[in-house]
Amino acid sequence: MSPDALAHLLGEDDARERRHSSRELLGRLAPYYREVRGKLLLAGALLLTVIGLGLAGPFLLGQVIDVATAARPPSLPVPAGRPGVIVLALCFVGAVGLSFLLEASLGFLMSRVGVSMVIRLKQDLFRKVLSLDPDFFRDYPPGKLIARVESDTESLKNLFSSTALQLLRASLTFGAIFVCMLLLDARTTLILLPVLCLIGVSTAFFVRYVRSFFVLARRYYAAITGLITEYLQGIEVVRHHDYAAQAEAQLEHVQRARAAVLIKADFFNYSFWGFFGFCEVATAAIVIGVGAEQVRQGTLSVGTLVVFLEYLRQVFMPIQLLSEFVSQVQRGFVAAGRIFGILSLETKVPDAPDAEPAPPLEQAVCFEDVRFSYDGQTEALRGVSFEIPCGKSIALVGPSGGGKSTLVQLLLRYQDPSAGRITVDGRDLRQLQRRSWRAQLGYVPQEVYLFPGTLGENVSVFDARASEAQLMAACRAVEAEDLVRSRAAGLDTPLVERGANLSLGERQLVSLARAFVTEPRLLVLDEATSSVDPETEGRIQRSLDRLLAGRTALIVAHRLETIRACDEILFVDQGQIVERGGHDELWARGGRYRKLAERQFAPVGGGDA
Amino acid sequence: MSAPAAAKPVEGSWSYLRGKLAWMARCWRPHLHLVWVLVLMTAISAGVTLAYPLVFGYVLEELRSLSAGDATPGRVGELVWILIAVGVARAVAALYPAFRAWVNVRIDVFTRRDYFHVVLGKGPAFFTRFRSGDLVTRLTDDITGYPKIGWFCCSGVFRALESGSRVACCLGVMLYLSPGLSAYALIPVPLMLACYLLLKKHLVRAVEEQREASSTTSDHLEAAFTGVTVVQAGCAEERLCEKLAEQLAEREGAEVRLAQLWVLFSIFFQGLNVVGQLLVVLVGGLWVMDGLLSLGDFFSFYLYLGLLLGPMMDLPNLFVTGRQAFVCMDRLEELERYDLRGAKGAFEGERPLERLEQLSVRGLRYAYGEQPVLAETTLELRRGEKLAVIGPIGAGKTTLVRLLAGQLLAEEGELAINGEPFAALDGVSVRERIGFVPQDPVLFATTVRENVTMGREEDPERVARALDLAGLTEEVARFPGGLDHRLGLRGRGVSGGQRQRLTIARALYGEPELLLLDDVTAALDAENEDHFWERVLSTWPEVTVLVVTHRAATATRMDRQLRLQPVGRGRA
Repeated sequence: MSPDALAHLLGEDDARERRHSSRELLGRLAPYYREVRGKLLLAGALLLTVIGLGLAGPFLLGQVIDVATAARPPSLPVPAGRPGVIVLALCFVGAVGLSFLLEASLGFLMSRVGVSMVIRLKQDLFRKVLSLDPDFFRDYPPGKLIARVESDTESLKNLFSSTALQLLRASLTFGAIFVCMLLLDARTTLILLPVLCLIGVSTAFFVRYVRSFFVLARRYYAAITGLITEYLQGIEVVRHHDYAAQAEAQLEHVQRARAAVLIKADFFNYSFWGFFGFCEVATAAIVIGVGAEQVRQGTLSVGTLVVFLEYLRQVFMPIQLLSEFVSQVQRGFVAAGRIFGILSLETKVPDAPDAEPAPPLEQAVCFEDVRFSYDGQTEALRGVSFEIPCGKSIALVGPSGGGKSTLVQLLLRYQDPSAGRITVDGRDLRQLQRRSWRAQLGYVPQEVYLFPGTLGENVSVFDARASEAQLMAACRAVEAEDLVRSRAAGLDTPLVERGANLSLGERQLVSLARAFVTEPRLLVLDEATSSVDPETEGRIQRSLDRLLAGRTALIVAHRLETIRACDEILFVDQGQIVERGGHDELWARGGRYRKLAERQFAPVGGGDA
Repeated sequence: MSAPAAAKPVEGSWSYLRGKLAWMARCWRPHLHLVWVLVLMTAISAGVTLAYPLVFGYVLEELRSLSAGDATPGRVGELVWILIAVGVARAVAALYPAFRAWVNVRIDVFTRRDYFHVVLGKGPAFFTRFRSGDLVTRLTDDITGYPKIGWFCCSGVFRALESGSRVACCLGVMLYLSPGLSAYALIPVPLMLACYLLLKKHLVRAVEEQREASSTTSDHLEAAFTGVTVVQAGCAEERLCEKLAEQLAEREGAEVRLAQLWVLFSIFFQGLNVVGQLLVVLVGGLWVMDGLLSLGDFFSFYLYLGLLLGPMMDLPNLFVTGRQAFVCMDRLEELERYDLRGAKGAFEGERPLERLEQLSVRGLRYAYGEQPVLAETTLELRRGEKLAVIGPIGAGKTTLVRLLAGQLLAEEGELAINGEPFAALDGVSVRERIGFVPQDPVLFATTVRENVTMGREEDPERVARALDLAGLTEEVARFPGGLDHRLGLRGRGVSGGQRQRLTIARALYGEPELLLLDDVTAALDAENEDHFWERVLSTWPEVTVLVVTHRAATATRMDRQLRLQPVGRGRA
């Protein structure tokens, strides 16, 4: 596989998302931290105490050595000899015991903080995703979105809780020990200062450098998942063309590319760790080299030197911890980048600041010279004007790609016209709040989708406020009452994934019934293209006939019977209305409509058209 | 097809463990030469870790002599250099985990490659049993990450080995330095064991609870995202958010419980270790005072004790992570065992097909589980005949096409080409004579050209003709790169209609004798479809066609129609 091909597999991912710098990400995370600031303050206080108690350990140890070796009097007022050692040991026990108690409380507190922040994030992400436009979902299949809401937020959990704690602890400990060392032996500490600075600078450089590898490795992994999914979903084609070897070769290439990146990332990561191991020993050697002379001269006790060495070990521990957590932090930041990438997305059609709730539709919806382009170049709609008067039903017919679906998208306000306008009782649709407008619509999408849940939940779309009577009325309206009654559990009948325990016709009826739970002011129906058996088709048609009578509706129609029942037919092609009128009128005219109708709706084996 | 279930050993039993070890041994086979390196590096790493406190102890002892005026500064200088040498060794030994990580990745890559091969080699029954999403998870997340197969097989095992050897060496040196003090240091060990056993049960339960809660969330997310059109159209966003909030509130409890158990677990372990350290400091300090122990030995002992904690926490971790990794191995093994018949599918014989004269189906039955789709279906198709299969959804039209393409195995009935049963025929020779276009367009993330030729020998003229017949010539010419235009994953880069027409071109490229089209001409508008049939039939008048269609015009264009009813009874 060429480098181009590899890059192509990676390049397309998430192009619409804005990239965030680490600083921006921290800024975006801040409000989540702010929400739990009480708990965080408490955690901070606990942390400071734990660090303080941690520093007491080496100090007490030094005292024990000084008392035990009787090298010089201890700085604490303890008796000399054996009793002094016992008193110091008891102090040490007390400090350690308290430190563990506090540490446990801190762990408990932070695990709660991490979990609750992640849960908030999951909720925000879910809400955001549901508010995005249809074209977003074309680029983000459900699997990918679930990964964002589940795995990515989980990677952040550690960053919120244990990792954050460790990082904070590491930095505070670092500072505190440094101060202690200065107090203990300023000269040696200052000699060590350049080494510590070098370590600081290299950490910053390293963190930035390695991050890019982890990001790339993750993208390769996504490509691997994508390839496997694609080949397994297309297994019949793979089998039919004996294409397995090629599929395996392609996967192998991406796997190798990922492995190469990961090896680099790990190598750098652990070299860094090794470098620190060396620095720790090297600085200890410097301290011993410098301290030995002072010990010989009697200006420094062995106990103090040991304490100094122990503090030195502790100074490195936080930095080692940092490098240990670096991959976790990297992963956390990568995940945060992806999460806030989505959270920063905005719908293309936000409500205007002065938008008002849509009043109930009373007169008509008008398309006035509406133009629209998806890419800013080719126009999908080129000046379309028509009216949907209240009580009338309008059918849209025409070849695929002609602009029918775009018209529906504009009416639902998933998009706004590039020029011209859509009015509702004379008011520009853009001045109305989007959700309040949609709430008046009964939209039946072309694709029938049923949720795992009960029949009732599927009709109401999880609206617990909808009463059983309301739901049954909606079912009755679409002649789906017997569908409910024929099942022992009625509306509580559980539906398996994608409604596989209903026939296609029944699924279509459920989908249709949804639109009637709320008595919509305007029915927008994108008729399913896949036909069903004549009996079900007849049933659906009867329901539609009844439903359309006197109702305001815009229908993308695929059945001749549906079209006949409509008050006006608009033949849409190449973004324009090329013919309009009633069925008989257009049939008689013998134009594009008639040609289409003859082809598409010709009888099959004595059918009913 | 599936292996007898009785053979599966009980989880946790010896035979189960043996099975897993055998699996891991198999996994290790291509990397055996690395085992010795890993063992050697484990020893070096443990040795370096051990050397540090020992050297440090000597240094301290020298310092004490120095303060007492017993030693020369030159001796200290030598020790400093030794210390630096140990530091260098430590830095080198730190690369050991990087090496382990490299082997993890190798195992990861090899395992995925092998099992992807296994899965692609499976037959139709396999894909009826396993859904692609499930398979993808088994081939990706079950292998990669912590503590999954790739990590466990190398890092899991060798970390434990390293920890084990560190513990053993530390204990050995400690015993050498002071057997009496070692006894004090080991007092908390039985307590640690008891604490591990006590908490383990709770941990396992908490992990299960948390998993259940998270799979409930995933189900909810999948439903919401898949049905997002319905959700948005029904203004149900808020309601679904509320439902998620309810689920997450329950999950929060489980998650917090789990996290807190982990905190408890690690604090207990550390705590008990510190108890040991305290005993050592107290008793050892007194012994130093009494002259029973040298200061250097005491300090080394203290450092060794500190080195024990990490490895001792690693050891029980081997069991916890092993359990998780074993589950992933089970899931891969299941794929291996299921459907041993393989990818040959229906055509598993050796007799090559020279020319397709006649296709016959008698008394065909097929059911998806308990749900019968086809029963007693019979049809006959002679060379050059054109048949439309019509009927409502659920009547078994797609199933029939897939059976004829050899992509499903008939349960009962006869399927034959030229009177030869499918099972006697050689798959390659049959499939190259069939142009099969499934209902859902399947494209791969490669070039347009490769998507059409699919690894078959490339003939530019045939490619051009196939694209022309599918009405794609102009559109392909407009792609950046034309035939070399690369499609992204999930066929990104071409429109919905183009996708289906590309799959039609793919079928036509092989100049098939039998064309099996499953409701695919819907991607062509009426005018294009006319054009398509006219060109195909004039180019290959002899081609035999079986087309599933909902379009009346398409059906009437064929010689005959076969109407299937949901009961599956139909006769051409």
